[in-house]
Amino acid sequence: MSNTTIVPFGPQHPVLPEPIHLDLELDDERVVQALPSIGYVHRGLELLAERHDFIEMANVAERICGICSFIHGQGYCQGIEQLMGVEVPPRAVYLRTIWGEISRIQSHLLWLGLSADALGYESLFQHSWRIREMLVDIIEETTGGRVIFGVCKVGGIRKNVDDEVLKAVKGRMRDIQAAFNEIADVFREDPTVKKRTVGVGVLTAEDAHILGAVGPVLRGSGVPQDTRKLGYAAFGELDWEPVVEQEGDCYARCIVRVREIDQSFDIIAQCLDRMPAGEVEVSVKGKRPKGEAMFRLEQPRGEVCYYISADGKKNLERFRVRTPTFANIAPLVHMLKGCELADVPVIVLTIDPCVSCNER
Amino acid sequence: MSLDEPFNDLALGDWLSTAERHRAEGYRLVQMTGTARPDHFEIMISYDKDYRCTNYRTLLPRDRAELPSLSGIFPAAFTYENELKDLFGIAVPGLTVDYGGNFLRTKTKIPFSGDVTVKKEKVKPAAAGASGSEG
Repeated sequence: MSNTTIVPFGPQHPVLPEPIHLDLELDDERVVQALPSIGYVHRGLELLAERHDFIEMANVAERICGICSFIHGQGYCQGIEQLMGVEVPPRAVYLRTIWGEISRIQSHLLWLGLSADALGYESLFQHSWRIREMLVDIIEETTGGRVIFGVCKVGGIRKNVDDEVLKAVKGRMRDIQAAFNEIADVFREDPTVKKRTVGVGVLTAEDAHILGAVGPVLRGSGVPQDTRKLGYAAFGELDWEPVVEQEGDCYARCIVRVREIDQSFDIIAQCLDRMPAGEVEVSVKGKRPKGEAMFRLEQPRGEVCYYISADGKKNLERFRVRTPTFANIAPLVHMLKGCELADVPVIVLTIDPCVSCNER
Repeated sequence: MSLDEPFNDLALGDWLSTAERHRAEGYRLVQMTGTARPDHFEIMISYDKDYRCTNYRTLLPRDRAELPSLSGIFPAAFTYENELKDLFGIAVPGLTVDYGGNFLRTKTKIPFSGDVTVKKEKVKPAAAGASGSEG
């Protein structure tokens, strides 16, 4: 007879903002096995693409997630543009890159706040979200939206941003980066943060690779893979390298995100310095996508894949999104095996689970 | 990027051996998905090495929609295969973690099979103060 106990974790749990469930098989306080189940709020958005106009679907794609909303819209539009052979004006490409990196910073800050809260650091949580709010204000001033930007469209972007506004944004970005650096050292050096995260939930580079880990989970295990290196948007013209940490534990995944925030500030500054002049959209009137393509982008949580198949009609044959959280489920199950029950929330948090993306 | 990474046709009989070869050569499993066609299912799979994706497509007849599991070769395949099972109704013998059709708790069973008709439901008025999740 087995001496193990099954403890349900989620779908409602203090560290989970969205529903995901784990059956934890425990031997005393040690996790023997974790069995995840998802799909509580599956929305079938991929199926909508088969019934709606491909132009309108850009709005739906952006609603896959409320945190990396812009990057979902960008990925969908880039895929369609590639199928139609449309070349987006350089200024639109650079503005898309800036909004994508602002999305990365605000997503990482949101995660840092949640993790600080889970570690018992309420003031650090508040500071992280206070700084995030400054970025959301910039998003609102440049796009008109705060959660859903609504600015990306097939053929470019809907709204140009004035050079004067961009100049002001550059100054404010420097202030926000300085504010972030004040709290970044707490995540890097604080003994309590280290006590809860160092050596916890270790994923080796080999396991991360074979289990298909993506994003900070993969790079925190020492694998220098970042899909932005494919050179989409303006990334091929900018000076940057993937952020990598070697230890593969919860602390390494946290530090990858802290360093990526700094890197994104730098990428935004490069884009602002090199901002091309000119139009921000090309007309796609009368054009329709035909063929199939798989397009990959780097979201804050990792690599996202869009598969688009079209036969020249106004609706797509198939639209598929493989989200980073879905790819990180198998590594999560591996990391949980053998850990202490008390460490489960921290390990789950360090994959930065996005159930909204997962339940597209 | 994408257009220069086409989907190569793969015979179902070569499904497992191709996965074994890619594992041995150090590839990473990127994704698996399906598309419902009138008389068959297309199963697409992508492997990645050094930022370069190698994509394959295999066909499953609707009356024998059965795909050998890759979860013994690439452990991460169990999530994609359970998804294929739940969304398309494809049988996956040899799955290391088999949820028996309960991985995705969708309201409509096998919604992506191509046999689903859209029904409009009456929208209930939202409760005061109710709000949705952001992300």
